[in-house]
Amino acid sequence: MKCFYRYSSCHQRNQARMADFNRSHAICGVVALAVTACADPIVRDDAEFGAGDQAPVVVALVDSAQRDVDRGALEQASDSLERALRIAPGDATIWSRLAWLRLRQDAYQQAVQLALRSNSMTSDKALRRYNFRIIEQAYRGMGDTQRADGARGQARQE
Amino acid sequence: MPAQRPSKKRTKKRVTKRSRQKATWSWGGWLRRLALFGVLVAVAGVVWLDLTIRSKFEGRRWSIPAHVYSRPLELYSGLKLTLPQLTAELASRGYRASPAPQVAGSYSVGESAIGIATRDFVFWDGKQPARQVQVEFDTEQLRRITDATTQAAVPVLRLDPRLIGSVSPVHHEDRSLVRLEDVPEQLLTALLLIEDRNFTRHFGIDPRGLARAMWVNLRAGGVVQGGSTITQQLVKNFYLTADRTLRRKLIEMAMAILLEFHYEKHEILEAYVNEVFLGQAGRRAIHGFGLASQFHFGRPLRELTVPEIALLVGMVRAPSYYNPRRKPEQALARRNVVLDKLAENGHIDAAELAAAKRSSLGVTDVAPASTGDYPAFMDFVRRQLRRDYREDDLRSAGLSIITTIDPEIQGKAERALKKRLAGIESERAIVSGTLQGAIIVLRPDNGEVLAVVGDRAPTFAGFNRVLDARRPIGSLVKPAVYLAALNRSERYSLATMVDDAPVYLKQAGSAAWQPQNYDKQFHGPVPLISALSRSYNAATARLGLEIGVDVVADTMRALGIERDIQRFPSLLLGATNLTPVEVAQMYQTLANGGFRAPLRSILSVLSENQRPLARYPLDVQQVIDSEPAYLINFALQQVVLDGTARSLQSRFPATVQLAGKTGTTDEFRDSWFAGYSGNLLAVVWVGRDDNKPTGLSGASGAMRVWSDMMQQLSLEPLVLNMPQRIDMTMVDPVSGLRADASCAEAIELPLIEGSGPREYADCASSASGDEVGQRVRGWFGRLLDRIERRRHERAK
Repeated sequence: MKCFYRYSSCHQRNQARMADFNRSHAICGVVALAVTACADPIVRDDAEFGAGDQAPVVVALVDSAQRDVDRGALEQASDSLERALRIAPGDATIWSRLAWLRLRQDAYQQAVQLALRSNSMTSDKALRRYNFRIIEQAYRGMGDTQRADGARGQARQE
Repeated sequence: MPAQRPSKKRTKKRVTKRSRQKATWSWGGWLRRLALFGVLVAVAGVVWLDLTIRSKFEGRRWSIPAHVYSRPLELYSGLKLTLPQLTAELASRGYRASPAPQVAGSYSVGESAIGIATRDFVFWDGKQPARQVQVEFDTEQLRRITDATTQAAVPVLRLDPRLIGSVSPVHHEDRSLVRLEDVPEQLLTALLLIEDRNFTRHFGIDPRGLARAMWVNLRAGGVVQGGSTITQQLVKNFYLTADRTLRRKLIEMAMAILLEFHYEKHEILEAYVNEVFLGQAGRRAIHGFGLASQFHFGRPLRELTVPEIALLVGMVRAPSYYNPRRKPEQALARRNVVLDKLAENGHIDAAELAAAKRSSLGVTDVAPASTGDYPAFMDFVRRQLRRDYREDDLRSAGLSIITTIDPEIQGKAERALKKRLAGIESERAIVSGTLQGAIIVLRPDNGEVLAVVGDRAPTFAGFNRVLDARRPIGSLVKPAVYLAALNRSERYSLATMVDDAPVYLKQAGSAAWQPQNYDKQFHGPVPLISALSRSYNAATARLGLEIGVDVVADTMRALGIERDIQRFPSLLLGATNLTPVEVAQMYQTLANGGFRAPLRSILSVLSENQRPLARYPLDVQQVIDSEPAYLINFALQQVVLDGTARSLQSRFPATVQLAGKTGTTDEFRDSWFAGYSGNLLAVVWVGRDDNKPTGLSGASGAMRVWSDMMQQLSLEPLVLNMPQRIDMTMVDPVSGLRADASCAEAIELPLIEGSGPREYADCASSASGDEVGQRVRGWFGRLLDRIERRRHERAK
């Protein structure tokens, strides 16, 4: 089972939870809630982002990253994802995961940049939408409401 | 007035009288005082020695230089790696062929598979344990990895990285610490047998051993056996100078006793194992069995065989005299003496002795250079490390640094430069050795530097041209000029016509600027894409002046050029001095779709006790919008398809879709090429250190080195991700206006939505798309074919 969590700010929680409810996975949710009190457990279904054809090595490294996330070892998770990117640098879903991880680490600038990188190499609307939401939240984290709203608008256009 | 002198006679008489009176008690008193003083001095001396011993033994005993490792090799199913290549990788790490690879660091090659017993290694994310695996291959790639014990599939396996060098050690003393439990039992046995039989029983000095040594020496008529214990040897090396005086010997003995008094035998032995001097490489002294094993055999200590252990132990007495590379016969004789002793004492049997004596010395052919095998890359690493670490820490804190270097690519780059420069000198009758060169290879997606060659003699740790040779970059600047234009999509597109006509610019204080084309001709109005791909100077100068030199300089800054750039019109044609690494940064940003990733040579740093200290994470920043970045990459592919780098086509399959740019400076002083595939980017400079002309253009010099090297590497196709706001549009290259199937010379170009020509060319009509393939010809026909191919691939 692969699950991936995304943070959203508290005031968005209900909205996001409703939107993502159908994709949520109970176990992932429990783990995510255990990780943080202000988190929206969102399952990232890889198939949704067209990552179903990932090579076993990439799957293994991404899974390893997930396990690291689960135990709060975010830098180790980054390391695994960067290893995955060395093997599959054209895989937009890995860039997106790394962007999410940077968001989780409050490294907002990098979260934005990695999400942009992901978007620059995919036409998958769901993934692009997701990346724009990462960008939105990163800008909110930086206190840049204007850009956050801009990213939200772009997410809606996808 | 002189003082009245007392009568000598009277004084003497008086003194003699007094002496007689006190003689009975004063001699005893003086003796007692002297003895007391002696005792006090001795006690103070012992206390001082004791303090000296303890303070050094309990503190940081050695300055351990930072050890630098290559990138770890990741093995996984689908990796483009052949069986011979993996075998070479293993051999380069000192892995040994073995019929049944069970001991870590060994392998066994089959027809299409290889069994490997890997070594453990502590990476940034934790320890990867040793394991036994079976790796199977298809013709060109790795098929599968399975665990030899459980038969389970192994999705990914990291091979331990190669030790590539140390950061200049303090006092040139280099060592790798080993713990006693990691030292092979046989080594300790042999060591004690040869150097100190009574080590476990004596108290620091060994009177019986001393007596035996004296007897042996007496009979031999010279010093053939030393009587020093291991504790004394440690004291001598650790605390004292090499003087051979009685006083020093007495101090050594006292300190040895004190050391034994304070510390356990195993602590003393461990210190000795790490302290002992075992070789010299230039100014670098090899200390300790741990480093000596790597230095002489290229393998970790725990993997040594009995004869190799015997050699190391035998060398303790006189490492230079028994140097196995310089004096193999003496070393072999000494090794065999140790082996005989082991057999005499029942540690090996007769058969083992015979086999061990038959074996070669086993040392690697070439000792690692004192500066490491890759001085230019190490230089790069050091400069990056200095930003975060003090020099002292690098030289003494025992850090482990995992870098990005790929020794395989590094080796191929070195050989390509060396061979091609010699070839060019020979074919053009250039004085041998006058050409120089530099290469940097990196991953465009993350900025990791894979190879740095700073000299055609790559192990020469001198002037590092990749980092320090600032030379005019010539036409390598042009992508920045065109990018600056394409950033203004409302005004410029790849279809925009630019006039390749004479330019005359008056400049205050200097001669007028009149750029010429390489072929000394002017080509009139040409589409922007052709002006770039064919590197027309006049057209570029006009375009650059139209946009503004400042805008071009700002674009270069965005691409990653940090140094101040002189903002003169001549900048537009590359009259700015940059180093190859700066050029590489600029092209990395282009190749990565406008996302700059600072070039980096370090992945992670671990502390002396293998704890993670720092990781150097992936860092990207979008500095160019995706659309113009796409256009410039498309144009740079055109350089290879139909421009100044078209000769590359005969050397690479079309499917790789290389992109690149040649660069030549005035009077052929500098020859540049920057080019990339989907996975590798390399910049090559060729020129002379005295800046004299070489007669080489970018294509005839640097590009040939580049292609020699890249041909040997596994290249991924450069597939550009077309942004949503870009459409392929038919354009008439003669007028630069929109075209359709009716136009004979029509070309299809990517244009940003809303940019490019709106009007249709005269040739346009309502011809059907099916006719296009038959009607398009000329040099753009090939472009069209390629676009069709790409469309087809995208459709798939």
